[in-house]
Amino acid sequence: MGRSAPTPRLWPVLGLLWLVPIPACAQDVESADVGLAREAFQTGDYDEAVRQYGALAREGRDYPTAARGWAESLAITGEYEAALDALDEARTGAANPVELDRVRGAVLRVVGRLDEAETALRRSIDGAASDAELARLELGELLWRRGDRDRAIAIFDGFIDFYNASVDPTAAELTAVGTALTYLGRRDSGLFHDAVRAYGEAIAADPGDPMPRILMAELFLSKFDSREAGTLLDEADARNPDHPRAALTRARRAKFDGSYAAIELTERSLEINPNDPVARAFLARLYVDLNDTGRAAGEARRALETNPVSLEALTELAAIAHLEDDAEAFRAHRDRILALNPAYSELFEALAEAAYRTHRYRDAVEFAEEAVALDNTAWSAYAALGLNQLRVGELETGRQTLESAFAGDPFNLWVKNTLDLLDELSAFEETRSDRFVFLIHPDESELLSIYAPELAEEAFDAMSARYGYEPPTPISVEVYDRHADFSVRTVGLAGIGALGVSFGSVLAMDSPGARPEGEFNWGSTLWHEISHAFTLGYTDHRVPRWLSEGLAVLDERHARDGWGGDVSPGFLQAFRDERLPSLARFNYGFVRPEYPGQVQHSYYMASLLVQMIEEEDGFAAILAMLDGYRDGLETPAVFERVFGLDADALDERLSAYIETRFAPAIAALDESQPGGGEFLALLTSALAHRSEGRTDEAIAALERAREVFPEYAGADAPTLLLARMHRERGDDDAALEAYRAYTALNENHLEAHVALAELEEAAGNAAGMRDALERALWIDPYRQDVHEKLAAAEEEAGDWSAGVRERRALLGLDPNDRAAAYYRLALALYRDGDTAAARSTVLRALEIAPNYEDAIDLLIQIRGGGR
Amino acid sequence: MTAAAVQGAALALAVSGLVGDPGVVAAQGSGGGAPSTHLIVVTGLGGQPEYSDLFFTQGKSLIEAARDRWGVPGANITWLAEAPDRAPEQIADRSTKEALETAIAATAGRAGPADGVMIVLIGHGSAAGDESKINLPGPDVSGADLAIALGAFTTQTVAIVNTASASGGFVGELSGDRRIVVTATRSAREQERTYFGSYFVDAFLDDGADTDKDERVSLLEAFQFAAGEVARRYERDNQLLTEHAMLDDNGDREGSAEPGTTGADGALAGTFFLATAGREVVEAAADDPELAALLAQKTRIETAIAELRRLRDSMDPAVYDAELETLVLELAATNRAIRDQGGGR
Repeated sequence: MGRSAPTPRLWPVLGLLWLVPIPACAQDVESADVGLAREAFQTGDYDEAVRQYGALAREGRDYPTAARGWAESLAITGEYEAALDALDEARTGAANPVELDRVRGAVLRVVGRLDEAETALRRSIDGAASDAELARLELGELLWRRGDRDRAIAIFDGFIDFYNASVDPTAAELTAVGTALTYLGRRDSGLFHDAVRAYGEAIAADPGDPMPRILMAELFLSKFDSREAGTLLDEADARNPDHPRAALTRARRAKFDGSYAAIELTERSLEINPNDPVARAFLARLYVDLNDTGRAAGEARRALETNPVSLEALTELAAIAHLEDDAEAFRAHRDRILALNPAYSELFEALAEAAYRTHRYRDAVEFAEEAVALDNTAWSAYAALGLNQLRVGELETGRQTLESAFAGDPFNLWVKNTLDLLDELSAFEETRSDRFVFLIHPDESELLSIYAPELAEEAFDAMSARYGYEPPTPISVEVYDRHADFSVRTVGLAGIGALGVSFGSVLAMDSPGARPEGEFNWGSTLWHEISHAFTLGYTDHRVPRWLSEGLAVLDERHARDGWGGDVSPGFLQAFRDERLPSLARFNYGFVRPEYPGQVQHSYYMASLLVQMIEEEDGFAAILAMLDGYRDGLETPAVFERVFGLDADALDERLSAYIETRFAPAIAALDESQPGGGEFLALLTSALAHRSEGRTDEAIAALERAREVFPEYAGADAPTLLLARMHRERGDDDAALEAYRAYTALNENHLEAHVALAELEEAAGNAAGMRDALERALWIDPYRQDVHEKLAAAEEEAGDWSAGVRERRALLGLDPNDRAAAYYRLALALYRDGDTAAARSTVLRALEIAPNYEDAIDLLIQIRGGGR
Repeated sequence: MTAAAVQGAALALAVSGLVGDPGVVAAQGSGGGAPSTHLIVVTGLGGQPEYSDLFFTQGKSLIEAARDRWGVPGANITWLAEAPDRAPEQIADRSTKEALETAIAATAGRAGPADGVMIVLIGHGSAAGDESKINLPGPDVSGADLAIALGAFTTQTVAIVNTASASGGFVGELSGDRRIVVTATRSAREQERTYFGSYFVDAFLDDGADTDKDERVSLLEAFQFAAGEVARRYERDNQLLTEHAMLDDNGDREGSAEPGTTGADGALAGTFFLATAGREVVEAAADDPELAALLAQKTRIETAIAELRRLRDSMDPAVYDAELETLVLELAATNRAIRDQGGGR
């Protein structure tokens, strides 16, 4: 029974509810000095705020506002001890000291003195301080973070009553209501809307306070609305460009958006408040994502210097210990965290994310399972669990988990997109081969299934021989006809730039129809992803990204002429200018590029490194490296074990290798030379000669350009230009040589492959023509003319089996003349000896065209048994 | 014989793959001469040399294919073009509105009552609201203009093919009884240049469009070929499809993007041919009872195949194939016997 059409999944948004009228001025009227102080605080002039508030507080004026402001102005820049001292000083002789206990409790909470914080906050509440509601929120959050969720929820619940009963709440109280509601939203997602409304009212009550905007931005971000969050942060920035929490939220938003600016923005926050343990821990997280565990640990420890019980910082240390396979340290951190907060599901959620980032998807599943076991309202943990279940191939379980996540938090766009995608995926057609399962869109399955399994099996055989290892099978390959779907499958959102992804034995990739022709080679992409399945599996998912990518590109290179990327002038210029990443920070080149194009350069550099190692040290050295990572070694230790070198020394070896290999090109690309370097000057001159009809001179210039940079395979490569010019002037032999050379470098240029096939045919080289056409089909398998030509060539060569493949492909292209397509396939099948299939197929032709004489003749021949 | 009966008889034999167009049998039944097909090709303003050349080439290819490949008598072909001096021996007149109306009237005057008429408009189109026009030297011609002129064809089956941009409005204006209307676009609002015309002409130039292998190209086959190639072209070029060809032949003023012999539109177009091949066979059968019997047998077998095909999904595949094989072999034997009897194919 087929699955019924899914109910459309609605993705609610939070926007607009907060667009309440904003009064022209704040409701409070205070003394001019306090007003100036508050203005300074709200606009980020913290020194002035400290000065103003401090002066007032020391004189005992405007108590408790000035005293609180003094402490808060110190705390916001990380001067926590000074803030506590200020409170002590202001408390002396104060008539009602509990008025300062809320701020005291808040500061104590930041520095991890939780018992003292709780005591102070309770004093404020019990003493009915004027800001007792704010103290209640602080206490609720403190209890929440200590794992006392029931009591925390009871406090947060109280804010609903407070809001309903309150006649004229202050902006700060409305902000507290909003925050309380964000906690309650975990149990009732509808309350998120109320939280937005409360924040909106807080903004209206005090338009000058950036805090409710920042908190609302955090809420929108947590609900996957980066755009709205950005708008709010812009508004907050307009009021206060130096708010550390705004900068941190901006950094979180950058991380959410996949922007490389996250580290810089976090560092900006830390410039304002260098002691913020939350920002420090977030920076540690960003370094964990980069697999830079050394820096990550440093930042986490700095966070702990301020707050020794920072759950966020301890969590990062646990993640680092896990990534470094330090089981003992991991247990210690984990146990410490759970002792501090037995319900801290965020620990396992963070571990799941770190595991995902480092490609340990099975670990990610296990951690996410622990997270939801600790807290059954941790919807983001459900989402992480479901997404990672999909990554390890547990499609049905993953779907169920995601349905739970969506029911709990319908704002999660990743979850919604992925569920929608799973609905579509259920209609994909499955094709199995010995060790692979392909899921392909029905419109493309008939065609792609002819080629993809065969290539995948070839890749598996080649790599299992090369690596001496076989990954778990079957390897599942999802082939998406729309890039946006592939992107959702990969990261939950549209917009990823990659062509394929490997989760181990689960691969996903763009189909050749998902991108414009010439943008990629779907055969080499499939080969590349299969290589990842080998290297990830070999190392138990411990291979660093740079090595896995380098090997994948190198494996492509071994598979077919032209596959595996090519060198660009930009790469050689970056090498010369020392802008390529060092081996010690190689992963940064992939995930945090410092200039446009560095990601592509990093891929190529990684492939050169492994190619150098294979050539100079043998493939055994590569295997030894993989062994090292599988054994849990870090990169420096792997280099030391395999090469007896540190990263810098290996860097030098690689530099020498590149220098030697590309010396003439590097010299010819020197922009400081006349004409922008010899290579550019030659190209420019060739084009000028050509446009003025001086073909001989143009060819001579191009020949020289090719001589200095023969590896260049761009669209303006001299080799390609020469091929075209030779062909135009009828010099087919020279054109053939140039096209052969060019297609041996460029895997994506369809026109060059087709031209090569035509020239090979004209030269009587049928095998060469077939090879060129077969390679063209890995660029664009939808070209009927290419299939027709290849089919005819295979049949001419007597390779009826290959002819059958091509005839099947032509049928897969849904030709206008299906009867003829069936007939030709039947003929090829018959010649290939498959009489039964030939009979069945020729009947398909006759079913469409009963008077089709050629088909009748073939049917009679089949019945007669002749060949 | 009523018009409906004539149409029914024509359909039956046209499906047999032996007759040239629906009028053939009607003409025999009425005792007149064998009906034939008339072709009027209009190539409009190019605007730029590139398009003038393209439209000229398309028109020329089409009339030559009609005459040389499909046996349409030269006297039945009228070509009106932007520049008659480019091929004065082939072009009858300049492609003005007046010349078109004159050509239609003249064709109506000489056409037999059961003849088929195909008018192909090649050029740029334009739109005024939902009204489509083809750009000709002098005043443009709208679907409404053409509808008046076509009133001259009182009994003939008329096919109007407008390959221009923004041509979709012609469906509503020209749809009617015994009418086949083909437009390159779904509506007057699709105003980008079209590729449909090129592929439509190509359909008559070689065998690619003859999907049922009856050695003729029906108007339905030509439409399917052209629409399919257009879609393929846009897909290959990674462009959004900006032209959606339509065919209407049931008179409901609604075109179909995917017409077929069993759908709302397509049945009449499936029996409309430029080819007159088969006329001789039908004429010979009138005097040869044995040949007539063979033709009847052929029709019976083809009907049985069509019926079997309809049952396919409910049958065991092996049984289905066996029965199909028996029928197609029987059909082949009958075709041989018809040939032996002097009936050509």
